[in-house]
Amino acid sequence: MMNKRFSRMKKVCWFDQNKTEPDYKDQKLIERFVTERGKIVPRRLSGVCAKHQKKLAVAIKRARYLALVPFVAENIR
Amino acid sequence: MKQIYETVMIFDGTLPDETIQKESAKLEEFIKLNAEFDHIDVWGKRQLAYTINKKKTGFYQIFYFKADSESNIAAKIVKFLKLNETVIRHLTVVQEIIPVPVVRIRPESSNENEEGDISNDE
Repeated sequence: MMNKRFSRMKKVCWFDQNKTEPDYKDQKLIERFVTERGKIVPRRLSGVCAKHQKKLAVAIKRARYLALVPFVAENIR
Repeated sequence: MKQIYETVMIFDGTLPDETIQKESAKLEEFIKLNAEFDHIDVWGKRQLAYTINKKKTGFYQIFYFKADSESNIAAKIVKFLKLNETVIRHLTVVQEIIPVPVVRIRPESSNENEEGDISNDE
């Protein structure tokens, strides 16, 4: 049972909503799901479904290898 | 089974355009020998997110081609580019076939049931 005061809007997967798939070549899309530091955003925060989070993780790792997205963002203090 | 492959190549950004063109033409020829070449997508010069071998810029190119999955084309390309110093990074990937979404037609009665469930939870 969920208390009404604490009930939240159910998050919807961004990829399902827009009917797209994660792509490692799309830098802007990858940056959406990466923190300032360069970490992958957990799906409990981003609301991405399990299927797409798995694909997204692979895409982010490919983008990192191709130097489109940093492994670790420097100069943040 | 024929699959569509894509190879992303990052050349050294400090090189003159002629050498980059020459090197990419070499790879294009290599692909044409071993697979069905489709087209090249040129992104041009870009800033790298981090320095690779003290280089800050790279020249991005993507090659698209069709090949048999049993032809080992990815391994061949790795072997071909291994000793090439003009290439900073390269990645060969099989293009994912995006499945057509299945549209489910639900009977009207099932919708009413779902609404009933939600009200019970609250």
